[in-house]
Formats: sequence, C-alpha cells, structure tokens
Amino acid sequence: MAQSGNKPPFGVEARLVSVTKRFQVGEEWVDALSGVDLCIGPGEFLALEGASGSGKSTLLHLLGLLDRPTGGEVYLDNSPTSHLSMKDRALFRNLNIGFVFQNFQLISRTTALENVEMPFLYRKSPNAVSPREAREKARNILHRVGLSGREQHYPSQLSGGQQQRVAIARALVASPGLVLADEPTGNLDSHSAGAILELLSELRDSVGFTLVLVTHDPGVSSRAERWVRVKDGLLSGSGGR
Amino acid sequence: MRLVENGLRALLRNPVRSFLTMSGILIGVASVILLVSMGMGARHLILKSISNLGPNLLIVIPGSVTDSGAQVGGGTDTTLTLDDARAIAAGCPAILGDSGALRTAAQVVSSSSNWSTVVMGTQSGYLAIRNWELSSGGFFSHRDVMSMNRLAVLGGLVSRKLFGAQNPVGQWIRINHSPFKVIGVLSQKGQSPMGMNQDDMVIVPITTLQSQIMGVDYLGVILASAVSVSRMDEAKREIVALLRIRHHIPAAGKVDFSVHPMSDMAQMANRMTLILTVLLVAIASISLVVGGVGIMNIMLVSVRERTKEIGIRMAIGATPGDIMVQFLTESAVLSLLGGIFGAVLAISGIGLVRFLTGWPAPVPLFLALGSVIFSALLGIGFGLYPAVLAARLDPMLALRYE
Repeated sequence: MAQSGNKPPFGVEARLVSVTKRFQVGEEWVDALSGVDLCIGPGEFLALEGASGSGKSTLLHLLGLLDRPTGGEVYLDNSPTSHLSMKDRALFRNLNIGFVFQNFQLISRTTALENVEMPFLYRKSPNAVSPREAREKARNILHRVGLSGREQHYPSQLSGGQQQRVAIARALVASPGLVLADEPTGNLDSHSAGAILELLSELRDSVGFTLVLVTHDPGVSSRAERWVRVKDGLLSGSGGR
Repeated sequence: MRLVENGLRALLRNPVRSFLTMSGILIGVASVILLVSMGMGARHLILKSISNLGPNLLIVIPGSVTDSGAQVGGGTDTTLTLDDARAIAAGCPAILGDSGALRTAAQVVSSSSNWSTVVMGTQSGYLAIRNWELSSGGFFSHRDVMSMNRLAVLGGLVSRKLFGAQNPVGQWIRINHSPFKVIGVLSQKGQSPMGMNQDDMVIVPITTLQSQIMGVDYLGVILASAVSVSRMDEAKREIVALLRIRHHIPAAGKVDFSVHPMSDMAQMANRMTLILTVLLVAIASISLVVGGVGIMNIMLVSVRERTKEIGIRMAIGATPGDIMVQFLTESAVLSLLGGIFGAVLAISGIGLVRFLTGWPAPVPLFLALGSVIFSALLGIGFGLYPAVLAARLDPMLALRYE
C-alpha cells in the first residue's frame, strides 16, 4: 500500500469487488449496496450519479475508508483495506485521501488557514511536517483556490462558495492521490457551483489526483470523464465523454 | 505537542465555562490545603499552651478511676489534703516541688469597683511550679500559708478591673466581705489549655481559702513538678505509691486519685488535633471528587457538542489516539489549573488569616504541590471516559451528526 504522501501525478487506483453494505435502520435491515464492482483508474475523474438513497454516498464513504463493507473488498492501489484497523485507516486517509463535503464541514471556531493546515496536525513521523512548512503549504494552496487575503477569516465570515474553496484547499493541501467529493455543489448557487466544479477539474488536470464526485445532477456528472449511475444499491448504467 | 496546544485553545474559546468547570477542583484543593494548615496551627497553639503550663508538670486529681480506665467524677472528690501535698514534696525524690490548690468563685471588691472572679488558694511554691512570674510586688511565703494570712496576689485582668492603671500593691480588697491585702500582681499568662483566662484570677494562701472563705479542708488538685521531663514516669510512680500508703489503699484496691503527667496531655492533644485534621481533610476531599465529576460531566457535554468536529478530524486523518489526546488534554489542563488556582487561593487565605487573627497557620508547601499534581491526575482520571467515548465515535455517523 502506498504510504508515501507524494502519490501524484498518477493518483490512487481504486477497485471495488462485489461490495455490499447493509445498515440496520430501527428494526429493519436496509441494503445500501447489493453487490458493486467498479474500477477507477489512477488519475481518473469519475462521477457517481444517483437519486438520494441510491447508495452513491455509501459507495464514496467505503472508498474513503470511513466505513467498512459488509461483504466484498475495497482495493486501493491493489491492496485490500477491510482488515485495516481504525488507526491504520486514519493514517491512510491522512496521507492519501482528501474529502470535500456538501456542507463544507469546516471547523467553525478556527480560521481558514488553520482549517487548511489541519491534515498536517495529524501527520505522524516519518511523514511529519514542520508547523512552518505546514503553514507555507496551506498559504500556497489557499492562494491556488483564489482565497489569498482570507487566511484569517473564520468560516462564518466567508460565502458558501468561499467556504467550499477552503474545504477543497484542505482536501488538497497534503497532496493526496484520491479526492472524494460528496455533492460538493449541493449547497451552492449555480454560479458558485460552476466555479467550484471548474476549480476541481482544473486542479485534477494540473495536479493529477484521482477524483470521485458524487452528485444527483446529470449536469454535474457530465463534466466527468466517466459517469456511473447508482440505483437501489446497484450500478445501473454508465457513460462518458 | 500541537495536539496539546489545540486542546488548550479549545478551552480558551469558552472561558466562563472552563472557569466554572475548574472551580470544583479549585474549591476542593483550596479547602484541603486551608484545613490542613488550620489544623497544624491549632495543634501548634494547643501544644504551646500546654508547654506554657510547664512541660514537667504532673497533676494529681482526687477521684477514682474505673476498670476501663475512664475517669469518673474526677476533681469532685474530697480525698486529697494539704498533708498529702506536703508528703509528696517531702517523700518523692523525683519531685522538685508541689502545691495543693483549690478554687472557688467569689466577688472581689476594691474601694472603687467590684469584680466577680475565681479565687484560688495555693501554697507558696505555686509560681515556681507554673513557671509564672510577678509583674510587681511579691508572693506570700510558707509562713504566710502556715498562719493563714489574708494576702492576695491579683491576676492582670483583676488588677485592671479593680484598680485601673493604678498599682494595687499595698491596697486592700474584700473577698466575700473579708479584707485581704494585695501584695503582688501576676504577669499576663493568657488562656489555659482548658480555655480559662488565667489572668482573671486572685491567688490567696490555700489555708486562708480553705478555712476562712470556703470552710473546707480538702484540695481540688495537687500540682507537682518533676525534677526533669525525663523523670516524669518515675515521679508519677512515686506519687501513686506514696498516696496509696497515705490513703490506706491495698495493692489490689482502686485508688481514689489519679496522676496526669503533662506530657500525656500533650500527646493526647496532639492525637486529637491530628484526628480532627484528618477528618476535615477527608470531608474536603469529597469536594475534590465532586469537582472531578463536574469535569467529567462538562467533558461529556463537550464531546457531544463537538461530535461533528470529531467526525471532520477523523475524516482528515486523526486517529482515535489523536482524538483521545485532545480531550484528555482539555480535562487535565482544566483540573490542573483548578488545582493551581486553588493552591494560590489557599495560600493567600492562610496569609490573610495570619494577618487578621495571628493564628499561627503554616503554609504546607509540600501538600500544596501534592494536591496540584493530584488534581491533574484527577482530571486525567475523570476525563478518560469522555475521551474514550470521543475516540470510539464512528467517523461517518459523527460527520452526519447535527
């Protein structure tokens, strides 16, 4: 498994084999995923499209090692992941995976700069990064997403689009090989949404990470190289440019 | 280290809550230190007042002792006499000197005012046994005692009450209507260990008190001083043997008196104040535990409030250990600060008490240091459960928590 923080320019390769996921909701068991096979190439821009409750977010959480599949296996760079401990998953996420969420998920009582630096806070040796270097990298990436001068702003002082830019900066600051975006434009107006999608795909082109984006909007998924439709816990169609 | 800094900043964002949370520990630590200091001060005072009586003093009290050792009706029997006192002085080599004593309450009148006080009859050696001095005049002699002369030595307070700033030596007073000539004034002595003001007293020859004021022939007590502190036990044995013979008590019979060396009383007082101090500290420690529970409670609230933040941090790559360290830091710092503030408060409190009342309370530095360290451990102990709870959160559920 890749333990180096410098995976790009090729990005992480992800493979799901017969992945199932059951949740217990009250008394009932719900099949969120009932057997998914999917290959995502290194550096690919893939959209997972589906209605709410289709299982597309579950798929993304499994890819991001935030959750374990009930059956099947998730391979990241050809290594199985279901046996990893909580700690090893956290370390892997820290080095290789960046998340962008629909509701930004910034920590409201810290500044934009501190939010972006945060992945380095949890770096362990031998990959540890000095506070100075962390700050430098955070400043650079904030500049890159167009937020120079907003470093000391708190999330509440920023617009939705700006907050999502901070979140993108945080996801990318540690140069992960895999970026997972869960409805990144769901809470934004169409103008900001377009700009955010533009930013993500431009960063992917120049940096070279694998980008998986979850959306319910066919207009958004059409921007990806390839899209896969998820319905009732199964893949039901795909297409691409 | 940066994780610790992170924890500190979280506390600073909520200063009022942080302060209220730590106040439990603060009060606990402060009261433990204060109470121990006051206890040490009390012990010091009691021991000082006992040694003030004379460390080699033995007190012989009339009255029997029951089988279990508890004294019954001590000091009320009438079995001790002046002859017993004289025999002890003459017949016990380990005794330097002694004096029988008896006292009663009486109205004392001077030409200008009157005062209700205690009149004590003693022999001529009383002052030497008590390590007591006169501030002016003289004391009555052995011959005065033999001839029941009407002489009086006034305590400092009585002198002021009856004669004001005037020197009373040579003046006359009346005790229960009989005239007494004032021949001396005692130096100030303050409170006795039993809480009696020793300056509120008039001393007259014991024979005069017995026959002319009270009309009795017994003694209330015999005070004897041993040759040295190291011979106290010997002196006690001699007194017991001698009085047994004088009172015709067979070897197996119960004695009708008891002998109390001052060193025993000091030991007892020492033990009593120690027990009292330990008891008070135990009670104060309860507030420490309550403070710890308060910290745990707030940390649980804090974990719940920040569930989403924990989820974000986990998604970013914080391990369960990282999350635990963050919350443990918060609780440890809270209680450590509480402990430090508590120690500071207690030490200033001790200073204030010393300044205001002159109570000789020492500053227990080791205890202060110990309780500060203990409070930090308390924070870690009570913070453990909330921290483990935070570390065990499912990252996905935590992210969705609203």
